[in-house]
Amino acid sequence: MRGDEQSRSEFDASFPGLVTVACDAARRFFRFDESVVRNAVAETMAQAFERWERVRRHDDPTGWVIVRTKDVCLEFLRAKSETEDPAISGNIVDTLDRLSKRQRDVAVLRYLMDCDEATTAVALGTTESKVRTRAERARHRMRGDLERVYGVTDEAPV
Amino acid sequence: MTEHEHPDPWADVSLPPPFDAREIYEYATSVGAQRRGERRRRQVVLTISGLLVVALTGAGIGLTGGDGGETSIQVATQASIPRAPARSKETVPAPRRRGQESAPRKSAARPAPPRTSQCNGHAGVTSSSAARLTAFHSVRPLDNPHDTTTTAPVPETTTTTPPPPETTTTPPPPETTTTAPAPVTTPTTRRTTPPTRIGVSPETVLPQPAVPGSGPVSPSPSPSVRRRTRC
Repeated sequence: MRGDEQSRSEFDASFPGLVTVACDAARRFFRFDESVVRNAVAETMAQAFERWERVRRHDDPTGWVIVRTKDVCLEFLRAKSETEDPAISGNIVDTLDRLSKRQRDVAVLRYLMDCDEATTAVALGTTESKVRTRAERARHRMRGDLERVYGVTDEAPV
Repeated sequence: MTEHEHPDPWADVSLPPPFDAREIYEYATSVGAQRRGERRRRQVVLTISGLLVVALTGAGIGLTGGDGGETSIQVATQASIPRAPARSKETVPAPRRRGQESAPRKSAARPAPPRTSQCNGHAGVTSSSAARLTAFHSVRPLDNPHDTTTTAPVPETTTTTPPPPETTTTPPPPETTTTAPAPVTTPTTRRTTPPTRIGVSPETVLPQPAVPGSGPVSPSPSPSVRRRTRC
C-alpha cells in the first residue's frame, strides 16, 4: 500500500511535465483535427499511470511518453471514426503504411510531431545518424504525399 | 509527504484552453488504476494456471512412475504372457489386451500353476501337471483338423481332451476309433487315432513337460486334469 502511495506521488510530481509533452506531440500530430487531441492525451496519460512502475524506472520517461503518444495517435488515426475528416486520416495511413516499421516511427516523430533528431533518437533508443538515414528514406518513400497536411516535401531540406 | 507537496498535480499545468489538465488527470488515474488492477488479476491468473499445469504434469509423471506408463504396460504383458496362451489356442498373442487378461485371471483358477508346472516338471514334483501340459500340447494338432471337417468331431475331441488321463475320457476315443474305421471318412480315422496317443501320453509324456513352447495351453482343460490327477 505504501508503495502504491509513493508511486502515486511520483506520478503526480511528473504529471505536469509529461502531460505537456504528450499534449504538444498530439497537437502536432493531429494538427488537422484538434478534437482528437484531448482523447489522445488522456489515453496516453492513462497508459502512463497504468504502467507507471515501468515508466518511472525508464531511462527517459519523457521519451517513453512521446513514443506512447505516437502509438496512441496512430491508433486513433487508423480508427477513422475518431477523426472528423476520414479522407485525410485515410491518406495519412496509406502513406505511412508504405514505410517500414522503423521508418514509420522516425517519420512520425520527425515530420508529424516535429521532434528534433536528438529527441527522436533518445525516444526510439537509437542514434541520431540512424534517425537521419531513416528519416531521409522515409521522406523519399512518402513522395510528398503528406506535404499538404504536414509540409513534408520530397526535396531535401535546404 | 510528496503527496502533500503536490496536492493538485494539474495546478501547475498550463495547457491551451480546450484542454483541461484536471480532467485528463482524473481520467488517467481512474482508468489507469482500473487497467492496472485488471492487469494484476490477469498476471495472478496466469501464474496460478501455470503453477497448476506444472503441478498436474508433475503429479501425472509421478503417478506413472516417471516413464510415462510404459512400465505398467510392460508389467501387464509380462504377467499375462504365460496365462494368455493357456486360455485360447487360436489367439496366442493374447497379451495385448489388459481387460481380457485381467478378467480371466480371477476365474481361471490361479495364475501360478502354469508357471510352476513347468518348473516342477523338471523337479518331478508334480508329474500330473507335466502330463497335463504334454497332453494338450499333443492334442493341439488334432483339434485343428477336426475343426476343418465338421462340427461333430469337435465336441468329441473337446470332451476327450480333458479326460485323457484314464477314466471317462477313454470311452470316447474307442468310440471314435470304432466309427473312424467306418468307410465314411478316412481322415477322421487318422485324426481320431491321435486320441489314442492321449491315452498313452500321460505316461510317456512325463519327461516332455520341460518343453517351454508348450506354454499355450487352454485354461479350461488344465483344471479338470488337475483334479483328476490329484484324485
